[in-house]
Amino acid sequence: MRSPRVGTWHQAELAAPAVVFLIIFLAIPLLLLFAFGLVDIRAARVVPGSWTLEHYARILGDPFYYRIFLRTFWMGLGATIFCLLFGYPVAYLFTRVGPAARQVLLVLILAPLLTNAVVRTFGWMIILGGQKGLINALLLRVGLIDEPVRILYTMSGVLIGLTQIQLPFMILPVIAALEGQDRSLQEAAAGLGATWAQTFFHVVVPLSLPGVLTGSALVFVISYTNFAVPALLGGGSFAVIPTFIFEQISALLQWNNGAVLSSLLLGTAMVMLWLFNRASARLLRWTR
Amino acid sequence: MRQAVILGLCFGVLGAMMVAPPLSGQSGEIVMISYAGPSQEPHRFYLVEPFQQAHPGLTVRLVPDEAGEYVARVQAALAASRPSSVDLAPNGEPPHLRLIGLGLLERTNTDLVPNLKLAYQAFVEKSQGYGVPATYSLIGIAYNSQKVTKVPTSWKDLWDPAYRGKVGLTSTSSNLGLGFLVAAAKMNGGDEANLEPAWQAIRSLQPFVIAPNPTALAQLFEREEIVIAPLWSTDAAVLASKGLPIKFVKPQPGAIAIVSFLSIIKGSQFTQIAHELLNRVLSVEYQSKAAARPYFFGPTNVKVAVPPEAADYIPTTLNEIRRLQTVNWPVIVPVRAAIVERWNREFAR
Repeated sequence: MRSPRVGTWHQAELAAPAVVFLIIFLAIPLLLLFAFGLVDIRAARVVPGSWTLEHYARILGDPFYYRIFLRTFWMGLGATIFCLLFGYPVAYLFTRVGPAARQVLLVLILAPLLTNAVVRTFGWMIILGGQKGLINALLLRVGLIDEPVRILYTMSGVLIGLTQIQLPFMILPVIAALEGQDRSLQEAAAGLGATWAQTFFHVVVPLSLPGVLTGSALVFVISYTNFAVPALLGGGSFAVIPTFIFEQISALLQWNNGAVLSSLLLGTAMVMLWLFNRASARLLRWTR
Repeated sequence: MRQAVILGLCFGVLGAMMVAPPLSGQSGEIVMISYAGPSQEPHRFYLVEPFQQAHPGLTVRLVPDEAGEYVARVQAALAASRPSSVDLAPNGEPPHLRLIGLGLLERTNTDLVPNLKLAYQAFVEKSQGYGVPATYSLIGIAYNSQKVTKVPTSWKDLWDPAYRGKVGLTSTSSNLGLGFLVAAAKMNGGDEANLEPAWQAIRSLQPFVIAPNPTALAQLFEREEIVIAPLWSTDAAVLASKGLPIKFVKPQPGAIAIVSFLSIIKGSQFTQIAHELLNRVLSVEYQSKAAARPYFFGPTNVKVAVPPEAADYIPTTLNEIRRLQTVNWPVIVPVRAAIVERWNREFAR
């Protein structure tokens, strides 16, 4: 019989390439990123022996950045809520239809992932933009509005773009959770006189919570840190942390500010995931 | 033993990935920053193509970049003593001065650029010995002639209440935004050293639409999101050539002229041969094509006459040239970061 120790070693061998890769390309750069906020950087060179907390203190002491972080948070939360609202029914439908319809639905759900997010965002610019944009043209023709409404370069435009792009990340975990449900529980509820709505809200939804929570965490983090969508659909004055980091480093060469904001973005995203996990654990206590 | 071999292999592969020389250095590919959209065409058709025909082993890759996003990469490469990933770049006067200050530009070897003798000497002086003055463009007012019935004549016309919410601007991180800020300051009693009147004036222009860059601002005209905006003469000319009802005016007290310098970036592996591109950009052949329809880039070569159809976009008479506003960029450039930060604080939503 093999000793557990040998087994562990073999597992370690298998994981070695990934671990080495992650250390070199993730852990070290992240530590450097954090450290770049703690030293003075001039002309892209670290000034030797210039350890300082000043860069963190300056940004943490400035209410302007709190406002921008809050905006970024709302962007992430908004996208998550819309993805849930639009994604859940699709996931539910997927589990209710026959194999042929499933194939079609699966292609439709996954199709957005087959094209680049930036290309899709450019598509949204055409749909959302101006008097000639698809949405305004439609609303004007139907007579719902008299003047074209501004969607491009607003939070609404950014949320529309984010929701469409992140939708698969919500739908797929929810499908997995719904598929794993024991159908006999729903039949039992119906057999005991529950209406469709009662069964749905008291049996189906609670049982799918693990999928909903996984999907929400994924969508939130990807949206909270998203750069391309706010940069393209938000316009020149749409301030969220990812676009700010880009401007600080590439337009202003303020490497310190970029490093501090990046570390804070990463740190806050991790804290929020941790809080989310704790909340999830409470919500899912019954599954244990 | 096996673990050591596997770990060794992992490090070996990763190490090889990290020390492998960049492909661009070996394949004979010169990387040149260019404009975005159709404004890039003169570079592509009249500079790069003839150059490549003359040098079959070399290719020139044009990379659109309007906000100087390449500068951070170049700066990082120089700090790490790596070759630059960018070989040449056109820069308007403000970033040109900034890049000289950062030590990121290669001095021009005038022996390798005989056409420099044909360039307007005032422009050559502005280059301070770095790069060559390739073209100049104007910042004026572009407007949709179907929606704006009263032809604008002055910068003040942007503040006409009739255009409220339909005025487009770009952030001061672009030369266009920076140039407009200075124009707004001068119009309201300020100057390069006193921009306060400009901030107040722009605040009173709200609500306006802020595009992320000049090309995006031009696109807002296409989609009729805006009807009037400070814009580059070249972008306005391209819009008009597409058949859009876009007109360009040089507003009172004067449009702002910004010279664009084509420069070799420090750390380039192609310093010698890149000088040929500098020479070609000053040639009569290139300059006359770039000054023609639909681009209307201002020619810096004294032998190239402004074509008559360019009169709306480039000054054609001495009188007109005198009316152009020049900006004391050396005053503005050192405080550019503070100006961008102020812009964000004032207008970020």
